[in-house]
Amino acid sequence: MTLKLGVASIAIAVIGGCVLFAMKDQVRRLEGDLQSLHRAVRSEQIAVGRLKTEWAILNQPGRIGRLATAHVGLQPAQPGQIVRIGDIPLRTEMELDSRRLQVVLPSGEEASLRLKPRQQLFHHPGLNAPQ
Amino acid sequence: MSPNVDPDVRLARRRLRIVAAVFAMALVGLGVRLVELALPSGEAAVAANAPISARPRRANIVDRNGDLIATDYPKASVFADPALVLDPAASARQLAAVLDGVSEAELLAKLSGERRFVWLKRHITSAEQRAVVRLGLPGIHFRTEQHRIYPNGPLAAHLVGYVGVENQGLAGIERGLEDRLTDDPRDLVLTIDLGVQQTVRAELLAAVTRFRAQGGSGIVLDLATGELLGMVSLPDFDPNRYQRASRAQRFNRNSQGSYELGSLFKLFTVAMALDAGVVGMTDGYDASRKFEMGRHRIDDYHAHRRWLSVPEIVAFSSNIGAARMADALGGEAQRGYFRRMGLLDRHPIGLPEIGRPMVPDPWRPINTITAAYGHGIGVSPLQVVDAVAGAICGQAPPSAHVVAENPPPQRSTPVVSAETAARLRWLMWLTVAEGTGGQADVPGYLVGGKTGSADKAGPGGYRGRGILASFVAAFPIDRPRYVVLVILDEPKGDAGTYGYSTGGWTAAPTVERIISRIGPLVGLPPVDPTAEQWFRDRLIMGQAQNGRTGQREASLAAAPNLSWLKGNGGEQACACGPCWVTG
Repeated sequence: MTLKLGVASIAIAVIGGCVLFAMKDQVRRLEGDLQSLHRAVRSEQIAVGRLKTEWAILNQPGRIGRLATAHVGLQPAQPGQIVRIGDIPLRTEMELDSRRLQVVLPSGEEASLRLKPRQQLFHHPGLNAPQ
Repeated sequence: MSPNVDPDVRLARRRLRIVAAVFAMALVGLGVRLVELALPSGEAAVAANAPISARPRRANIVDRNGDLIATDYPKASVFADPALVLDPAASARQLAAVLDGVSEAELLAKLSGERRFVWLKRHITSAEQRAVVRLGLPGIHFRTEQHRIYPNGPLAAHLVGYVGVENQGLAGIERGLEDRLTDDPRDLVLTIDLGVQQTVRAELLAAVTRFRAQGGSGIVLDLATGELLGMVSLPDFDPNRYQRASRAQRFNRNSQGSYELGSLFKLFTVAMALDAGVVGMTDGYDASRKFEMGRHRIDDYHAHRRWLSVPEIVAFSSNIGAARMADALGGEAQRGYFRRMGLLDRHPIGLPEIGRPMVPDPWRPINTITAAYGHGIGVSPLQVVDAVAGAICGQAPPSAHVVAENPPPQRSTPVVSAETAARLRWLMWLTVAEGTGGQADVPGYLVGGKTGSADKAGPGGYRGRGILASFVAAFPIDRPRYVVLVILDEPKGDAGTYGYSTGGWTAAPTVERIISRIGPLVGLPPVDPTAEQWFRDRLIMGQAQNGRTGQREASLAAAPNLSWLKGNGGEQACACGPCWVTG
């Protein structure tokens, strides 16, 4: 019995040792992988930082403005280019504005009637008033 | 086991078993510990293997849209171990040929030294690094370090400042917020909008160049929040090469400068006189004769030589009228208002470059008179925009600031009443619509403002030196959202201005160009015609007799019986930005 016990414990110790060795080796390799991943991440992060900086240099507002003027013909926006949605006249209002109604007043005078335009409709600098 | 075994043997066996059990337990314990050590355990392992952080030594500084203003960038530095250098003389000669800005003699001294480590050149370019590698010299090595760079160059130079070779902040926010930048890796967000900043700088630079001015400053303040959208001081410098900048270039006019701004102060004078009730909108003063106090005589630049209404005193910028108003108000009350406007104390912006206002001490009666039209008291441009914000909003927004985190609190005491603020906005509108500020009129927006032209003081008095031309505007003036200030230092008039160099001719058109460009940039809708009508309704034409010719002349006056507060008490909260934001 003692012999059996002894053999069993030696076997357990040997197997345990092997498993332990294999596991340790695996951990070591994984750690190596992890480290090289970290190195890669770090160099990517540095590269991203570099690119962001270069982007910021290329994206300077003054430079963009110069390039836009030189190559695309863009100009700084003018206040007249922004219009409130409510200031845009309805098409019917635009049409009615150009219509005149000729009437004869009770006094015998002739007059031409037209729709009174909303004040803000046609006087916005960004809108061309209808003829 | 047989029962007739010697009791001693039984005892011995039992003891043996106990000893065996103890050893077995110890062995198992050792085994467990061994496994425990071999397996990477939870947190400790993660900590030990944490990625080497790419976190820069200093946090980035970005504008309100997240665009980079200052960041760390890896740059190589070259160093030597003189003990390993074979031929110091030849090495020095070869290195001097490829390293820009380092002399051969200097290198030779370093390479023949006793120390085992000497920097040859910090922060070399990649071209220099390649050239040094190609030389293949023994004992010469590189170290890559994070180096502060400013991708936008001079655009926000005075604000952001710069760092020294060891990455320590030396000026601006880099120095003022050194601890925040080194302790907390999160981006430091400024209130500046680089688009607005660029517009202000470009237009200011154009004006400084055209009028051959010594320099200038330009500020755009958001009244809703007290956030500075743009702040430019010219001449400026490139923080990437701050060593080459002169003292004049490094000087931040907006925070360090202390200027007598002249007529701009009439805005404050009329605000306090109206607020204290010593004068009403329909009152006026005789400006046909000079104002005299002791040996001092005060005259008008744009002399009309007649009775001037309060609106005309502002719109035509009458020194005599402003002096009489301040005289009626008294020095004590004037100082109280100045203090509440923040004109007598250092501005709390938090930049290390901050100037103290020049305040007369003691404050004599003549100081009260000259301060009324902006002489004898010097303040920084930042203080002016804050004071204007307080005067036209009544309840002032938080003081002007550039760092978005931890904004200063709302200023608690109103500077003037809501009604005074409304009247002041009308007076500023009048100055642009009918007065000296006509060149600041922006088609499409309702702008109000005030011109300033001050003789610069120097040794020997005020005469013979240039002027400081300024213009401060608020827009849209019916419910102000932004304050814009432009100051030009010693501008010279040209043919386009008929030789005039005053604020109305030089600074006002610059403000006009800035507003017409940043208005669309910040998405401000164009003027509402009904808003302009409110201002027109309150303007009537009166008559006043000219003291010199005896003729009766048309004069601008405020309508006597119209309310200055529109709506049902909502004006107080809605006078400025915050209400505009919520629509």
